[in-house]
Amino acid sequence: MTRWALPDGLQGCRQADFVLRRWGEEGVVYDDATGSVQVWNGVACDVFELLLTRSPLSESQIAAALLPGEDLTEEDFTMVRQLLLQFQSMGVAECLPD
Amino acid sequence: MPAGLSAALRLADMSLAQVRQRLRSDGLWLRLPPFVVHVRSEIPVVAQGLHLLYANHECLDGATQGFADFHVSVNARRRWFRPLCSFEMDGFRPFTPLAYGEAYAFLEWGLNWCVTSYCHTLLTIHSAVLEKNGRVLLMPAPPGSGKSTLCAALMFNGWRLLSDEMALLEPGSGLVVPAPRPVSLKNRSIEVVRQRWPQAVLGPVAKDTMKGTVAHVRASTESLSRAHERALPAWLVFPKYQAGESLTVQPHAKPDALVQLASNSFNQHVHGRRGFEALAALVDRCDCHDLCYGDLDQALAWFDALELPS
Repeated sequence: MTRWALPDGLQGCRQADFVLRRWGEEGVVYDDATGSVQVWNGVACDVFELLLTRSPLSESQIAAALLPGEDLTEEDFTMVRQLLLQFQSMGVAECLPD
Repeated sequence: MPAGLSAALRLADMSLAQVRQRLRSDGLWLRLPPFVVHVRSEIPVVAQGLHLLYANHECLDGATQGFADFHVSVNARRRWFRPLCSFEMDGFRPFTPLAYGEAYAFLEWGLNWCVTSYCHTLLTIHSAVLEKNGRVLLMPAPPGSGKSTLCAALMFNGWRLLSDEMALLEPGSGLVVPAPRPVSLKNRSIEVVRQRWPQAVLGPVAKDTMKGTVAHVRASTESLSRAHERALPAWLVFPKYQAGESLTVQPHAKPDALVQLASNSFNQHVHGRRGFEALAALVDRCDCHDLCYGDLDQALAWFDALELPS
């Protein structure tokens, strides 16, 4: 099962050092490594907060936490996977080896 | 002596000839809160501009002062063929020379550069900053948005000027530090201010600059006499001038306001995480608005009716 986490500074990756400030359905993420500031939507903020507090997490764990009590569909998993892949390309999250 | 100012020597206590002489020799040591600046220049328009626009600023004794945050000069280059002038700080020329007639404006721009390049104990944000009833209004906006015209208009309408050009934010306390200096007006706004507020003291007019025609207007006496009073921000307004348009106001989403502030900050990267958190705290405590205006009176009425954030 694929699990996801914030970069931990091991294996040549950088240490995660982010700050998230939320207002309503949007938030702003500051990346201390690059100094970049980005506006994220609510879902991205939710997933990021989950990774900040409870990682490593699998895609299904993340989807279940986002939609508690609901029957999850393939579309939900796809959405979470795509978001995590975006996080990975941005250096915000990393996929841990099985 | 204007009410509220200390009994210290001010530029107004000196004649223009004395100011010119000092600038040509040892230089003038001016307290431009919160900084001390040592200025030298042999160019008459620089003396004229300083004498007019900094008349109420404190002039220090260079022999006993000993310390200045910035040592700057504006002097002539190439006197005969297309005369130019250059700005120096500590003997370093950060800019290519400009036309001789722009010497005074060059000094103002150079001073702004000194602060934004070297003052890193404070967060600097490109913004007009004013205060009323103890709370601060910030207006970060790109050139052409009518920011400086609004800033001058608010100053003549009872608001205290903290700065026309940059907010100086203490990262720890969230307080804005006043730095009242002349307001830079461009093109049509010069005539607007001259006609609406005949009491406005305008400095030398520089034509055909990279910003068009530029003139500065003196900061109000109240702004200067209260330059030691820091205050917390309450309003973040992104103004936009649209000729002929009625006033419209929309709430500005706080996340985007924070990104805009960060992109208007000269040194947030220097402060890192602490700088980001200071900007986020600023946004948090402010009401944020987009203001589109075409009529100055409508805009002034809206600003005067602003209520404190809930």
